[in-house]
Amino acid sequence: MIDEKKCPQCGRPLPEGSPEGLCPACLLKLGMETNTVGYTTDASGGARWAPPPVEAVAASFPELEILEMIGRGGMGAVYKARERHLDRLVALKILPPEIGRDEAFAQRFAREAQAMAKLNHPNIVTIHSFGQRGGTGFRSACNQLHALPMACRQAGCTACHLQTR
Amino acid sequence: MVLAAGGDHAGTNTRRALEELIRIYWFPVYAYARRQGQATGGAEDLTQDFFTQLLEKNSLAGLDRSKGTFRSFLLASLKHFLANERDKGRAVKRGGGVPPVALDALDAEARYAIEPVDDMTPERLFDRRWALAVLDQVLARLRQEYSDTGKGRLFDHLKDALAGSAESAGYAEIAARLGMTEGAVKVAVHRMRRRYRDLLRSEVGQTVDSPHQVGEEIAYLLKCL
Repeated sequence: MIDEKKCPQCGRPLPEGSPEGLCPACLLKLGMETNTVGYTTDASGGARWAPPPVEAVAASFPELEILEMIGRGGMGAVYKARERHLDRLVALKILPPEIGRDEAFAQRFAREAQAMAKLNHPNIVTIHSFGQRGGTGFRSACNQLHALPMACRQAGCTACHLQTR
Repeated sequence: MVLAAGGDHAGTNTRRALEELIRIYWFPVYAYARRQGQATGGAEDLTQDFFTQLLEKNSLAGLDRSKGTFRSFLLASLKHFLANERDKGRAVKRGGGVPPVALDALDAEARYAIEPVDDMTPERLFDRRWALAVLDQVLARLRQEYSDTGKGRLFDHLKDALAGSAESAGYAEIAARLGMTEGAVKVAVHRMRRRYRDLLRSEVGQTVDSPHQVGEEIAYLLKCL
């Protein structure tokens, strides 16, 4: 076979008459992802949570300008963002969607957010909002930038990260 | 759509729904008949007759929704129909009037001609063509939505991202070509992927019994490629 076209993504040969010239296998795989915000399909076809890319978060939170991901872990990812109306920097934490479906966890998450929202301390981020959107749990925080002690300037500190930009 | 087609209310809605299904899924039927050894003309006639009978008898009205996917129902009906036709030896030619379903015969044969010549069984070919018919339909709808809102050019530039390859094309380059920021292109890509996914899942959802079978059916179609 001469000059067989291959999918640049998965390397499979592209069959003649592929829809819009796109790889049918990759097209179907995209449909299998249960949530385009946050899930990727690994090589074995199973779904695992991956922090949504900045543009995906931006699409779900039009009121925020998502600047970058500043941290990630097993329980979620944190993004630096700017609240457009108030022109202030905030941290946005996104949790994996399946955690949001766990009722007990969702309640604990809400209690924790409510408790944190009552606290006001320079080393604790203040919670502004929390909830669910587009199948993901999120909470948005902003801290008192001017009050942060210098000693806190360490890698991975959300508060410092917000302060330094 | 299957719900509407198989519903109890026989009438124009049912017929319209059926015609819509036929418009999308006639080619797998044609390809199956051809792979069964039917010549071009024979396959065209059989495809016409099969759908005519489906429309006339309103076969879908008796479709038990617990019996499985529309795909397997249609294939089972087709096998049954072809067996009957063989018994009759195709001595009697039904119809004779204007074909109720317009199939583009030239298009059919051109499409069939590019099928790989291998030992693919008629059943496998049916399923494979079914998968491609679903994707054709979904992408045509997506393209239509974009062109209806004056975003046809955006669709053309971003569609590669649906198969996950836009990043290699380069967001920056696309952004420059479209006069958008790179960030705006990324958001547009994400929106297109999400809309595509919704359309695909809804299209497949019309051919299965319950929403939670959608993923299963898509996984099956993926294996058929």
